[in-house]
Amino acid sequence: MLDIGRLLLQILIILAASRAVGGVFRAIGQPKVVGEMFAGIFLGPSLLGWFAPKVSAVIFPAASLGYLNTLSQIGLVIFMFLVGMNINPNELKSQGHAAVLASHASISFPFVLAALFSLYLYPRLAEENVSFASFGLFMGTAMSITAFPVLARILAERKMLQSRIGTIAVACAAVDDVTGWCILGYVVFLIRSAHDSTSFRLLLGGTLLFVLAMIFGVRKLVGNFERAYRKHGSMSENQLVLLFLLTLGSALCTEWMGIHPLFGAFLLGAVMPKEPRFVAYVSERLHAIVILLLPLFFAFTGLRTSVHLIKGSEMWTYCALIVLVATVGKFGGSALASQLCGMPLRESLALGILMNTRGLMELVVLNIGLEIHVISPTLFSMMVIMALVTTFMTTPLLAWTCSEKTVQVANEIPEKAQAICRGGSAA
Amino acid sequence: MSRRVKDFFVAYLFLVGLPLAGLAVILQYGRQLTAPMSVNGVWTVEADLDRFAQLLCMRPAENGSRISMVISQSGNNVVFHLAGSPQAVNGTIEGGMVRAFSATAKQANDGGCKNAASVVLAARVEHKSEPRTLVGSLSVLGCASCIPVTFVASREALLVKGD
Repeated sequence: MLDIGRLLLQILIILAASRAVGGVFRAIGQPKVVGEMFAGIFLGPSLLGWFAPKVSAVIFPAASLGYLNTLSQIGLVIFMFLVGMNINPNELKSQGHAAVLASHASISFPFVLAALFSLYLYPRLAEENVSFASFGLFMGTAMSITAFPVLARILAERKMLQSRIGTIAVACAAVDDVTGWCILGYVVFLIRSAHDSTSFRLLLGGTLLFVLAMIFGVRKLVGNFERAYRKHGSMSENQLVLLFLLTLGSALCTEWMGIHPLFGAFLLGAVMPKEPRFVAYVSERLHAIVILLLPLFFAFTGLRTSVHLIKGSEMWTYCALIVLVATVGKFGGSALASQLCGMPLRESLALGILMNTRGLMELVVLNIGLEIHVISPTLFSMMVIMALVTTFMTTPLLAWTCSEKTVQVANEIPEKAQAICRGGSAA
Repeated sequence: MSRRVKDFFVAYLFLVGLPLAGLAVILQYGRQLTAPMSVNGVWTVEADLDRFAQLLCMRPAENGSRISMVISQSGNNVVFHLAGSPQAVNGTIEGGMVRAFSATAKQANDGGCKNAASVVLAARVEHKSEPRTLVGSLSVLGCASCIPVTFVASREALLVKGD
């Protein structure tokens, strides 16, 4: 039975903690969202449950977490809709083939490295009923994802959003996220339809039908929102509610299909019109819900994360290796690709550092992995640590690598890079 | 085709094409691998519990010949905790075999365990049986005169994820 008093207490504590820790992180030059992620971990068994187990048991008893999860999932559905809406893979085209190469390499390189590393991890840390294909593909997705929203926030705070590195990084992150979610969808397919070819075919057919309906039907329909916005300079209350309902409906469809509600929300966002002012308007309207509900997701993730599951030097070695492989793959792949495209060394390094930001998107992916049992709670905790470390390291490393001088505006592409991009475009 | 275009394609092949081809090989190779067998959960142990308790420095069982045991698992690493036992025993699972080793059994509260010794638990997982069972023995290291205690354990429930 719903204990409304306890739920309100939980929300109060979570929001207060996330604002406080977010503020502290802001003071040390980190984006607030990184602090909010850490606040979630602090409220879980890793810190609060360890220092004050009785207090933790009173505030966050296991039986009460279902309601907290439900609320956080609603926030996440809206958040994923906004992520999809803010992603515009067409931006990649305007960046030339240097960005295309950097983007594709920043997925394929860490993905394959993670799959290779899975050969080592699978016999040691995998769950018994998970096939290697599912495990390897999931690890690949988890290590190749980039936190598009956190990345955009870091770039904006450092006034780099309009710089060449900024525009390429945002475009690459957009492609990474779309690709990552497609692969993750496939992994969920594999898991959900394991040992049953009929349900696999049904699931695949249903999903293809849904995607086609979104691209060729719903896309035209939602274009009306943008037309109404252009005409009146705003959207009516009814239109906003309708958009909200469409988001929930799309999420519900993919939930019924057995994939995950977040895929539906993301897809609806992806087919929304991309006119920048319209995107900014809708984002601003829905942002308040996200601000309030996203910390609940961080807390829920934190309550599932226990560093105490990582026992002994052997487990901590696995954890360190996970951080290392994730960093080498993502940073190395992106930096190497941009170097081969003729970008200066410092900018190539900066792009690698930016693409290594996993943040919130990683936590979303990991929670799905835990829910479908493709990873164990121990591996989940290790991967959460990897997400926190790689996100935390972005800002200081970027400050170290990217001086004011390095931040150039988008048009100032060095001659060699321009030449390669022109050559690539001509092809 | 200009040199620049060629450079682009070579770079693309090297950084994208080659890794993707490698992925296919990795996935194919990985099919041979097996994940650690799951022994995580709450088990009921059937054995001569008096001798069992003696070896582990526990209080003798008060009722019947069954005792509860919790196994928590992190990949290949397992931790055994017998109800009433003063300590947990760490071990590993390799293939279908579980091995655990208690460095030195501690003195029980009632002081009934005078010859504290190292105890070895070895068991085979019968993964095809439903519920899953463990068949094995508990023995004392370096004690020729100590007769190992055999036991059979059946899994009653899985531990809740995150426990």
